[in-house]
This record gives sequence, structure tokens and C-alpha cells, in this order.
Amino acid sequence: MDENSTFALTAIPLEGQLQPTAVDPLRMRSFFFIGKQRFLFWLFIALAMTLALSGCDRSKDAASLATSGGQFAQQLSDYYQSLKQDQMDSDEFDAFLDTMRGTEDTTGDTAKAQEQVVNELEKRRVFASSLSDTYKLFTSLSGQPTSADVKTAASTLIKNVQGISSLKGAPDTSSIVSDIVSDLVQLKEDRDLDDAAKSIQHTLENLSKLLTQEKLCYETITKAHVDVLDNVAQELVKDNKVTTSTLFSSLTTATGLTYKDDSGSPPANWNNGIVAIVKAHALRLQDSSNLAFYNLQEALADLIKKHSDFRNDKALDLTDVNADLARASSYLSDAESLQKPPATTTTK
Amino acid sequence: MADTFQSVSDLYLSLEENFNDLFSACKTDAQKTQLRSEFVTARDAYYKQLAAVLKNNDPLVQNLIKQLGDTQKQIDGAIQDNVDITQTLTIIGTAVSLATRIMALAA
Repeated sequence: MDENSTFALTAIPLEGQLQPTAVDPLRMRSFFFIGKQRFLFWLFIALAMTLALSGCDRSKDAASLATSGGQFAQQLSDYYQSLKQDQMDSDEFDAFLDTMRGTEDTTGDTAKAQEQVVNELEKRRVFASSLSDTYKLFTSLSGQPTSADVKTAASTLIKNVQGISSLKGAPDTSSIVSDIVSDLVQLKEDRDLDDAAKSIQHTLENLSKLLTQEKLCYETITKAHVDVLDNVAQELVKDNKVTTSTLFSSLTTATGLTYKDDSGSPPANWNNGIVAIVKAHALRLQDSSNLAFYNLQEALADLIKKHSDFRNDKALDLTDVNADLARASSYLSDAESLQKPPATTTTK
Repeated sequence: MADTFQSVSDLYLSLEENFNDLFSACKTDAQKTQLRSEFVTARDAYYKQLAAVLKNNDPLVQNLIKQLGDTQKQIDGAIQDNVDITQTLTIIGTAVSLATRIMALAA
């Protein structure tokens, strides 16, 4: 700026003078210098506050993302556990049916393949559990205590530096410098969060491919389980090996009636009806398991998008993910309760 | 592999679901024996194919597990870095404090 220039339009009124006037260049230079310092000071404060607030939002978003991601991973782990349980039950009931139907596998090959299937499902359950652990670590990374520790350490350092005589008389900059260090650490944390979110997103994308490739496998495991359950029930009912007191007690309780069970086994003409109830129960188990899986797939697709949003600093809205997870959780609970033995009980 | 698995599983599931009806429909022991044999073969093929599909994806699963391990190390390292920064600042702070006292004594 030219030192000889005047500021006729921007002069500050002094001592009641309202008319525009020329300003002493030296005075103006001094004012500008002070103004520049002030400007830089407030610029820094504004920057520090922006960074701090931004860092705060990032940490909150990271924590929310980690919570939803952790829930997804836990539910996926539960789903694999449930699927594995279905497969193991099928294997056991198959062995029972084989003795009734004369369909034993004499080579042992089928049993070996069944064992491999269970082992593979367990690997996937372990992976899902590990994903849950990763999200816990992600939560730790987004925590504030580290930044606060750094701020304290920086503040202490600066106070000690000011103790050196050569710096005596300088303005107290300890809080400002500690803020700078804290903000730098916050920036580093943000970058670390971005890197971690990127890595997890990459894993989720590959997981999505795996789930798509194996969807049919999971559906057939559940369907086979339902068919085997149905066949076992038919055998038991046919051979008059069940009582129906528990089944009908719960039914009549809902209608306000009391079931009078005085006959031991149900009459033969009830057999088809009982088998139909068991079949409906098994189909509900199949539906619950499949719907849990579909909603987990939806949750995964949404979660991948949210990781991308987080990395691109977009507003993070996890409503869809959480709704998918709530539905998946509900279906998993249904499947778990339906996995308990059907309401018919075997006779001694 | 997906198409093969689909046809193998369809056959097994159909036989499993309808086994009792089919068995009742068999008129001779030979027919019953044939049904049993076909059922055992179909079930064996289904489980072998199912295991093969899952096993075939094993490298992908192992890769996923490795990716997670690497991510966990990466996050652990980042957290440790922040701890290191704090420790470094604390150590420097202590050293500066000591230097200040020595300078004060020298004066």
C-alpha cells in the first residue's frame, strides 16, 4: 500500500469531527500494523474455533458411524451363529431320519461335507465378530481424551519455555500455542479417522460381494433345515410320539379357553393338523432367517454409503442404516425364539 | 458354479420336502430302494457342492480377515502416535523446565 495515500472515505471521526479528513500516514501505518496483528490474531482464533468445532462434529459422526457399524457387525455375527445352528440341527435330524428311512450315507462323505459347511460358517462368524472389534477401535480413535492430553502437555511445555529469561516480557501465548498443537492433533485425528473409515469401507465392499455370492447358499441351508424339521415332525406324529399339551395350552390361553389334556397322545385324526402347525412354524423360521439376511444386506449397502459420506464430510444421516438394523434385529430375535423346540413335545 | 449349485440344491430340497409322499407312492421294494439311493446321492451332491462354494470363497474370507487385521493395526498405530506426541511434549517440557532452573542458578 502507498504510504502517502489518504483515506478520505474511511477515516475514523476523532473528537467529534464528522467531516472527512486526511490521516497521518505514520499514524495510519501504526494503526494498520496493529490492525494487521489483530486481524491475524482473530483469524487464528476463528480458524482454531472452526477446527475445534469441525473436529467435534467429526468425532460425533465417527462415534455414530462406529455405533451403527458395530451393531451391524454384531448382528451379522448373530446371523451366522443362527445359520450354523440351523446346519448343525439339520445334520443331527438327518441322522435321525436316516435310521427311520433307511437313507444312511455309508461312505461318510456327506458328514464330512456337512462338517466343512459348519466350519466355513464359523469362519464367517469370526470375521463378523472381528469387524465388531474393529468398530470398537474406530470409536477409540474418535475419542477426545488424546487431544486433551496433548493440549495439557503443550500448555505445560509453553509455560516452561516462558520461564526462560530471554522470553520474559513476551505476551502469554501458552494457551494459544497449546490450542495450535491441539488443533494440529485434531487434524491428525481427522486424517486418521478418514484413513480408518476408508479401510473399513473397502472391507465392507468386499463383504458385500461375499454376501451376494453366498446368498443362495444361506437360503438353501435354511430351507433344508425347515424341510428336515418338517420331516422329523411327520415321523414323530405318525408314530404317535408327541403330546400336544404345550402347543394347545398356549393357543387356548390366547383365546381364553383352557386345554383339557387327558388323552396323552393326540387322536390320529389330528395328525395332519399338527404337522401343518409344525410346518407353519418352520416356515416362519425360514422367513425370519431370510428377512434378517435381506435387511442386513440393505444395512450393509447403506453403511458403505455412509462411510463414503463421512469421508467426504457430508452430513451423516444414519436413519436408513438404523432402520435396516432394527428390522434385522427383530427378525433375528424371531428366528432365535423359533429355533427353540416346537411347541409339541415328545412322549417318553 | 452358481448354476450347478442351484440345480443340485433344487433337486435335493425337492426330494427332502417330498420324501414321505414319494416313499408312500412307491409300489415295490425296488422302487423304495431306488428312491433311497437317489435321495442319498442327491443329498451328498448338495452338501459337497455347498461346501465347495463356501470353500471356493475361502480366499475372499481370508482376505477380509487380513484386511481387518491391517485396519486394526493402522488404528492402533494412529492411537499410539497421539500418545507418543503427548509423551514427547511432556519430555520436552520437563527438559525445558530443568534448563530454566539451571539458567536461574547460573544467573
